[in-house]
Amino acid sequence: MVNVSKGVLVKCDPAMKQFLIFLDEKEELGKRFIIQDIDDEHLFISKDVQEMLKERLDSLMDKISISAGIKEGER
Amino acid sequence: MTMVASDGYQSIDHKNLYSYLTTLPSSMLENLYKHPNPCLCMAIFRDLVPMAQKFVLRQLFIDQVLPKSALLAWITPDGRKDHDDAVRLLIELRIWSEAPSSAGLMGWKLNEHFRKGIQAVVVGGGPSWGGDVTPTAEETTPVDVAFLEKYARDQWEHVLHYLAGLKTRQTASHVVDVLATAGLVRGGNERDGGITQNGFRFLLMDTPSQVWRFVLSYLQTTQKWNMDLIECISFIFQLSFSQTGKHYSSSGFSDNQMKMLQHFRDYGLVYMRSGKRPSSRFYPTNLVMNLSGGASSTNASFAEGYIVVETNYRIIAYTDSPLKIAVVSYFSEMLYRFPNLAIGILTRESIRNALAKGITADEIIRFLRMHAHPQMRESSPILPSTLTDQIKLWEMERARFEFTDGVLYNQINSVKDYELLRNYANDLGVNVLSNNDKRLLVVTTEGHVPVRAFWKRQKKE
Repeated sequence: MVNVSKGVLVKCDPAMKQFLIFLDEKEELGKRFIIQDIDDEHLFISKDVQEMLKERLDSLMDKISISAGIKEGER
Repeated sequence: MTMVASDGYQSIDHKNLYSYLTTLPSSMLENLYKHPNPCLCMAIFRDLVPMAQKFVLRQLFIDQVLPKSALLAWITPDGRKDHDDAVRLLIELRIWSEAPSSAGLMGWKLNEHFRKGIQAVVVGGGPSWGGDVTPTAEETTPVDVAFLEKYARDQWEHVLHYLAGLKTRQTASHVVDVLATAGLVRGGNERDGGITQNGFRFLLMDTPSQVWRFVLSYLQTTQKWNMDLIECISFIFQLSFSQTGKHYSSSGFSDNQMKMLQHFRDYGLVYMRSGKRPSSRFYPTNLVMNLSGGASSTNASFAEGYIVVETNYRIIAYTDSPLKIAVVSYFSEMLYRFPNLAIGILTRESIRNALAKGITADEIIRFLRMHAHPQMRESSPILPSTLTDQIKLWEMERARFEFTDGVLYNQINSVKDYELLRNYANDLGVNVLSNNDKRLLVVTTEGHVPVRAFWKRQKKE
């Protein structure tokens, strides 16, 4: 028996992988999307969430970074 | 980092002349070589790799098929790769075709029309390349090169102005058509569709690359206007062999060529005196010179330096041009405007906005380096490395996932089956990732079809 599924292979660091697992378990994107947990740095996911993930990552990075106060007047 | 973002861009993103020519149907290339003006063949010949040039020259006056074995005797074992590349190129350009030689061996045959064209270049003959260059009585006041450069810059900036959404003057509809074909503005029914992702990146390129891409998509657009592509290409080649500062006669030009001349005048590729009666003389500008060389023939001195960036992320643009300020503000936050300079700051936010528009960090850095103020150029590296590193870091934090389309094979029952599949995928070079412990395998999308077929065959046995 062999199971075949189409999708996208994601390579990321272990921290990001945990973020993806979190999104998957909480169904934050509306559904489960992880097809196979491969190893610490690889996941196999369904293709349709790829764009949504990019946006999620962008907003996550936005939340966890603070702007360096180099603007005039803020120094 | 991929250079191609959408299909519209991909089609015109040819680095050089022959990568564009090879996309043309073979009958079209044949007609191109047949063209009475040998400058076409010369332009192509000039851009061939040295090895290919040598092959063509050696064969030029031998009126027979060159056996493949004879060709291999010319090269040393080290030159094998160059040989293969040259042969592939010549075949792609339809300069060579396979034919049996008189002794019955397979060999290479030089395209007859191409041979005649190059022969005419070598031994002379054929019509004049650039048309009539003798000055006539009406040219009492010659146009100097400095004026032409300024004219070219102004006209080209006007094209960019439209792209950047700065509507200073009326833009000719053919300019809009070409920009839309190139996928730089959203074309179609709504004319003011605005700039696309590729448009932003286009604005950050150096001028020769911009002109090259623009002219390529001009060629595509001419087909929409029902103009003869061969005529258009040959006209552009003819122009690229002319000299700036000299003037050429347009008498005897066909309607299409006159039309192109008028268009090119709007882009700043040629200058024509405007007067009461239209002049039959035109002056090619420096923009048209490097066209046949493609985007690779970048003239670095062309870019004017006006940008100073400091280690505290301040960016100072010594310019009063609204276009330049608009381009700089794509990736920086403008703080102050003075009559002769604008001051902005590069922030994480501003770079992120640019990245979201599809501009890459490398493109921003290249732009800054290209337009660095002469004073900045004296230091090494030209740009402060804290700045370039930070821009790259800001880009990298957006790219913490790496996506690869593929097909997953899992739940493989036996180790034997798994190894069979994995080895087959390895042999094809389609194995993206395999995990021995979990017995799973990811192959590329293209690799899926042969691997599946292989698996079905295996199951039967």
